Amino acid sequence: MEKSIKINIAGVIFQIDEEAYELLRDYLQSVTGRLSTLPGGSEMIDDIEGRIAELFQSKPSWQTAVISKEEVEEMISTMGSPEDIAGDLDSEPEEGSYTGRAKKLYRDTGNSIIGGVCSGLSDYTGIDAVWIRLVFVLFTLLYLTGALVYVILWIVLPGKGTPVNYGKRVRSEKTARTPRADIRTGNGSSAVGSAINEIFRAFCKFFVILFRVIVAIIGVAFIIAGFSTLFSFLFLSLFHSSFLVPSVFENSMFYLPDFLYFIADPSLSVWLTILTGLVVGLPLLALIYWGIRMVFQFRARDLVLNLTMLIIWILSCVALSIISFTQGISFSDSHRTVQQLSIPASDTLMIRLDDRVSSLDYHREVHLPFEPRNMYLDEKEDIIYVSPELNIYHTDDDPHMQVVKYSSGHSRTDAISKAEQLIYDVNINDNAVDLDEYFTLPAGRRWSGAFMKVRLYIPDNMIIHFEEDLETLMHDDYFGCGIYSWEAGGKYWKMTEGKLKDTD
Amino acid sequence: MNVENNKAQMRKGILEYCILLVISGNSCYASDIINKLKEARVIVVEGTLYPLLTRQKNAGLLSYRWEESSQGPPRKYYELTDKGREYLSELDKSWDELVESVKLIRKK
Repeated sequence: MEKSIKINIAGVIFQIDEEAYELLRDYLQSVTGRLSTLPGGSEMIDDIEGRIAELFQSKPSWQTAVISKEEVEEMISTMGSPEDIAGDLDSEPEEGSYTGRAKKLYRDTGNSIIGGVCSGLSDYTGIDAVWIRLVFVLFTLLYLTGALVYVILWIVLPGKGTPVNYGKRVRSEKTARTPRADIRTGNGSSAVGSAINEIFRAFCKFFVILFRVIVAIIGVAFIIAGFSTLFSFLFLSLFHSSFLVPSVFENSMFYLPDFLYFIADPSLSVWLTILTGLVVGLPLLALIYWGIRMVFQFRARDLVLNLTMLIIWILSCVALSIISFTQGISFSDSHRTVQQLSIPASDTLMIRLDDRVSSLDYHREVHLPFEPRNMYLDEKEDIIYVSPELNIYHTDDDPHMQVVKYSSGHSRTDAISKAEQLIYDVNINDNAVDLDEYFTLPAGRRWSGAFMKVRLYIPDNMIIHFEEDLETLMHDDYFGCGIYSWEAGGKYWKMTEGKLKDTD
Repeated sequence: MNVENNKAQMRKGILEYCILLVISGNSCYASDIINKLKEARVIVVEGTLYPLLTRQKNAGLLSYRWEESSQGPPRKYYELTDKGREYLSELDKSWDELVESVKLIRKK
């Protein structure tokens, strides 16, 4: 039984018997050995292989017949022995042509599956790319070392692809060399090898598609997140409504321009608005842009744009920090002043609301973050109104009350003077205390952590009545002395052993 | 000193000239060149052509372009460069001189 082998010479498939195969292999190896050290050696080898394929093809029945040893011998006598071919070329090299002759390692992008690293190594070492690929895959299973080395080589090695040729079906220098590798590695490796290569290719394609799909999904998420956040932000700052954001946030959200107006110097608030817009808006725009890029997966020369935007963003952050810091200094120290007021002893004390917010000509009501107190703004007079906080305590002394004013400032004395400047009216009559619903800051003064507590100290057996509206001053749930804010209004309470008892 | 060796030396001497001559007529690919050289009986084994072609190409005398072929892989079509043409005209002159020299000697 004769064994026949399928070989590939210069891209043409031939059937060859074993004896003939060995002869051909030895001949090609010998020719390669002689020529590969010469300048342009690989090119000569390719040309010679091409001619050998042509000679075999010149037989009428080459497509069906098996190449015999005689035919190979005939071919060799036509082509000439390796010595004839090399002639005296290898003994008289051309001057200066030996530079750059050393074999170079590069990425063979013409025969690549991923980056051409394996086929480049194959070309350098002469080992079939399939085995090198298998080694890389095996080492990738070992803590990804294979993949890591591959990526490093991918970056480090220069690429050398299929030369720009005439026509599409053009065979590159590299593809022409593959058949020699097939012949060298021996029986059957070409079939198995190409099968494995195909599997590699399919896997890579699959992963590339999977990767792209995942990237696109992430991109869509980026776009949605970017747009919704941007819109919420815009709506919040422009229209003071959270539109897209669920109402859960409503209470904790604040209106940015108000916040700036209350805290910062009005001359700076325009800048603060712009800077805050940049600091918040730019990353969101970037998120949307990258989302779009990920979805459509296009390449853009946007390095300059990206860098510019990054620099603008960093500068905005710095500027905002500096302004916030210089403005924030007025919060660095805080202090309180306590004003003690005595209340005439009487059987029944009425606590009433005097100046009311409802009668105030204010333009805006503001919520500041982390501040439970309501603030009101009279834009015309540039006055800020804030409601104080009322609580009740038991005392063994005579009835009295305290007005505690708190403020922050850039120093202790500043804080004290600011606290003292808070304006709050209390009218104490024979059996009634009239409290303002708000205290005010001096006109033109920014809010700097000012708030106020009104404390009533009531001895045992005194009856006290809270006007219904007074509840607006009771910010805490617990009002004191055993009663809650929501039950205090409109009733007469008698202080008995430190607790307020309903007299009805 | 044997006659075969001497003949081979002479053939080798003119082979490069003949290759340039063939290519100067028309751009052609390796098999065309081989056929013409075989016809003219200046080449014995085909393999010798390729190293010479490559050497001439590296010397800048030749250039090639790829062209698709209806049968088999694409082919390299060789052409003379300007440098090649100059080189060839030098060789032409030198050949004429040689022929004249031989004629002159033979007449005597």
